[in-house]
Amino acid sequence: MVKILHLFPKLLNLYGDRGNIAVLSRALSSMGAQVSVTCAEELEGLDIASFDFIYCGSGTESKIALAANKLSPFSEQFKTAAEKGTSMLFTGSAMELTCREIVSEGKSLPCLGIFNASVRRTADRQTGDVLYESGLSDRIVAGFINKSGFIRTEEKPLFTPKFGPSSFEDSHQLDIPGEGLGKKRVRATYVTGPVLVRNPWLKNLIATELFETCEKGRFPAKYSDEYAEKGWAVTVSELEKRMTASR
Amino acid sequence: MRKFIAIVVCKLAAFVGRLIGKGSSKPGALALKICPNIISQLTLPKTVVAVTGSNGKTSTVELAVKILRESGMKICWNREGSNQTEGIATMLICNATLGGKVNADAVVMESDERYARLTFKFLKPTHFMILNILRDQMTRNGHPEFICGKIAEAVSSDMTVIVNADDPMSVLAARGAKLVGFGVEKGAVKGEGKLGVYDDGVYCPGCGGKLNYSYRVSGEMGGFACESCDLSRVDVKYAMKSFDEESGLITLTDGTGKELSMKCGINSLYHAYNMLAAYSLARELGVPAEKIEASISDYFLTNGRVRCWNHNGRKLVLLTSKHENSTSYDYSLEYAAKAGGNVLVIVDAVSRKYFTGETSWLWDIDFDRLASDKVGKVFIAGKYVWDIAQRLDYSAIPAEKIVVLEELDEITDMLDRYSDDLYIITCFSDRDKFLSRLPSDAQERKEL
Repeated sequence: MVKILHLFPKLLNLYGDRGNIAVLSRALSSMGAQVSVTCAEELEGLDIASFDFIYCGSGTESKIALAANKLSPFSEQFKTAAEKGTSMLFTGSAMELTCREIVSEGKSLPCLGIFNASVRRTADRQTGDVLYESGLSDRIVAGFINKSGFIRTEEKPLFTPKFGPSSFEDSHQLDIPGEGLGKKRVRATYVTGPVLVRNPWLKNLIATELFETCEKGRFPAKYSDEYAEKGWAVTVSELEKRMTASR
Repeated sequence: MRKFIAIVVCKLAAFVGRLIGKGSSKPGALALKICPNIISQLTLPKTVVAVTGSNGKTSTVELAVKILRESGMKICWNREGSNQTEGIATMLICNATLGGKVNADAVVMESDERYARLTFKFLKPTHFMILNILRDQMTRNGHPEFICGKIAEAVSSDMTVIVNADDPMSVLAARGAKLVGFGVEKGAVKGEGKLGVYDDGVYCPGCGGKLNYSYRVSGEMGGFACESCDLSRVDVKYAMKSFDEESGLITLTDGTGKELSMKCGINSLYHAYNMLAAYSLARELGVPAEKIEASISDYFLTNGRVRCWNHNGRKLVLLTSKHENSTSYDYSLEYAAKAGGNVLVIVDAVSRKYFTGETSWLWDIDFDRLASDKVGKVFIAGKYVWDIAQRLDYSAIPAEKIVVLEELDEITDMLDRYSDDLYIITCFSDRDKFLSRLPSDAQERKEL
């Protein structure tokens, strides 16, 4: 049994994020695993350690602040789960929730602190299509960024931008190449929306990890990803053309 | 002198533009370059109306202008829908004398949600209509709360804001102004208000508290009140008392007890809202109810967003819907599912104004509406056909109904092979890709 926790599906569900749970659940089921999905708008009564995969999607800046207030009392549980290897995915603006704090208009908002990182919000938005490389696979991440924050940290980024906005900054420089944060099986990225829908290889990577952990000794059945693979190939091809044209 | 030169250059550029079929914002951009405050130097009529919102601006403006013109007013309006500052400059100057006097009894302009606050620095409307603030073009607009903030910056206490009272985000943006509300009354629409695949009416956009509803019209529209702050549906001066889904008849009232019945030219709640908005604006400007009925009852819009043809004994209906806008798509899908027939969805270029490969919005659309028995085949086409295919694979539409057209040219063959009514759902960016494949013997109708 793979136990999935979908955090704040109503509060943080801005850009089709629910698609991530839909495709991951189906992939796991197709592989032969039993899957249970718990949707939670509140954390009281939840045993964070009991879940195999935790997902949180994007929301507006004010909704992220609400989520931060709900999450921060449980930060130790999340940090412990992260250290123990629980798989987590935070997409879009929910990426910020994994950091130590969000700084906006001079005020600090405490978050989960899974990563020793701080997010500085700006008045402007950075938007754009992206192609990112990662150490997770030789395949590329295609997607879209729509954010108002930059990450300050000594930690390594999850992705390396090939095309599109970055997310890192320091006190001297905005837009240092790097996007998202990763540690053990926790992945946090500003790439928004149904990231696992649009990047089937990433979905397969997470599904395989979960299957191997939760269904030890069993052999996963094969399943078709034809539509997703073709969709991903078209998107990457179109973005690569843009990238070439912009050089 | 700058003002005069700007006016002459703009008029000349607009004339040349019309000859070569080019856009309507360039002449205004030239005028603004020559004389940056040209708009504020024009002499305007005493009534200036701006209409903004995520959905329905162009249609509402067309309906309102028809009413106002037929009631005897001379109207200056942006019929091409160019709704940023440059387009509005073109509209005003082309309707002005060389001395800068706008020759009209009223200006009625569609105003871009993000740019209204900038346009209003030069041209403050007397009436500002906010139709709705919904998920729309996130690649450009960020998100609805961001847009709400931008519209709020355009609102001031010296204008009358005619606001959709059913929409929490619109009411939030309008706070602090003199408000005139319009909305749909409880029980006007049969059954529970239909939600799509997400619900933006759970949390208050003002404080994050819980929103309670006494009723829902559709999505987050309805009789809302926040549990934690004072944001709630505002008093309604202009109301829709009934909407009959079958006949398309609506009953409107202006609070005097007098009711007005009209037929929607396009039988959908989406259009009924636009009719209500146009009615509210016209009544607010003093047009008698009877004249409104005569002008827009059963009126079929001419802005080309909905078009219909007879072809080989069946109907082809083009429902132009905004990509990146799930509400627009949901209403089109609803319309097609109710009418019955085959459906063609094309996503080839996501936007006509900018490049993006972003298709997340497909997951915000309620494609389950096409699972209706009345819908035959669901054809999908365009560059992003595989993204649509994957999305539909997770919908309630039976797999055997879905037909992937890998090349746009397969549309021609499909039109030959299948003889049922066909509803074409696509965006401005892809509309011509269907129109260029429309059979030459298809005859356009002026009604649905």
